Amino acid sequence: MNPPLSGSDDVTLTLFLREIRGRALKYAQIRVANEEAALDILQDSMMGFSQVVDSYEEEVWNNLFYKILKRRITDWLRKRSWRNKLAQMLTFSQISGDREEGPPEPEFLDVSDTDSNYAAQRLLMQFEAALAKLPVRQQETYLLRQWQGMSVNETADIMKCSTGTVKTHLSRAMQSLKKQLGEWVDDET
Amino acid sequence: MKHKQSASSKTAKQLLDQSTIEISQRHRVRLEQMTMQAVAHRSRQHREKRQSPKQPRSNKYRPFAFPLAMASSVMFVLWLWWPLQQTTAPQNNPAVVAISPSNTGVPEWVTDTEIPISLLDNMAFYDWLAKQKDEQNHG
Repeated sequence: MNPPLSGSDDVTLTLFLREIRGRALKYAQIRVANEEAALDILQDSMMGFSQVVDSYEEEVWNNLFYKILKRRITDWLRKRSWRNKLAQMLTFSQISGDREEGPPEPEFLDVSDTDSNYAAQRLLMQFEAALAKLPVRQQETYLLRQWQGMSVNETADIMKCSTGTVKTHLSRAMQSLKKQLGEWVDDET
Repeated sequence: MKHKQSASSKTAKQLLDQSTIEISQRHRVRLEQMTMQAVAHRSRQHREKRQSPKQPRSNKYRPFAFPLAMASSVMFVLWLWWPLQQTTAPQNNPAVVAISPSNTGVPEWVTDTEIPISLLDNMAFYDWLAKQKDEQNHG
């Protein structure tokens, strides 16, 4: 039987979710290329996480949360894939109108841009578009290891693969991103 | 890509971080709602568990399960085998055939308890019996 839940447990969970939610939302948004869907997925992940969190030590919460989030994202992508296939079969149905748009094509930066914020926004769009073009595993590895700064072991645990595979995926992702965006991309951590 | 570096001094990670802050600000209210909902869900779930503690699984009869199953199996096999044995035994066992009453060849007067033992012990009786049989056969 679980130990009684104290008020401090609620506070700990709240703080953890507050800390993690922004990056988790961005992670989901990049993965599914849809902000509203990312919010739904995040909510679903939080609920799933809150159901099982009592069985785990606080040290592994981060990994656990990302495992749940990753699974929800995979489910969502599979559903979208099936829906798109169905829409292709039923060309004249209403469903075809709901088909998801792919990731936006990268726009080339106009050198004449003077507003640095605007330029940064466009640069971000290009970067996200390049990221979206990566294979799923490379994308996940980049986001978890390079962006979130997780260790190789943590990334491997979340992705359910070996540490060697993580290194390979990250290396390929970095190569691909640098090829598209130049040396501006951060060096491998 | 020097033009990109001049356009923004921020690195890719910094840009993603900035974008994270922006998206969090944009959905601040909903993020807070879902956080509270998740925490409340956990508390509710915990409360429900405490109010209706899970019944421990009854293992009272578990030690008897295997012996009982074995005994049942043995009894079932015996139940099948026994009638079969009963029906086949008299036909296959020559010893039983030899002692069965219809095949012994012992005359009735031997087993008749009304005939006195002294008569049976007397050799003259057997001589008389042999003569009687001869007469029966020739007659």
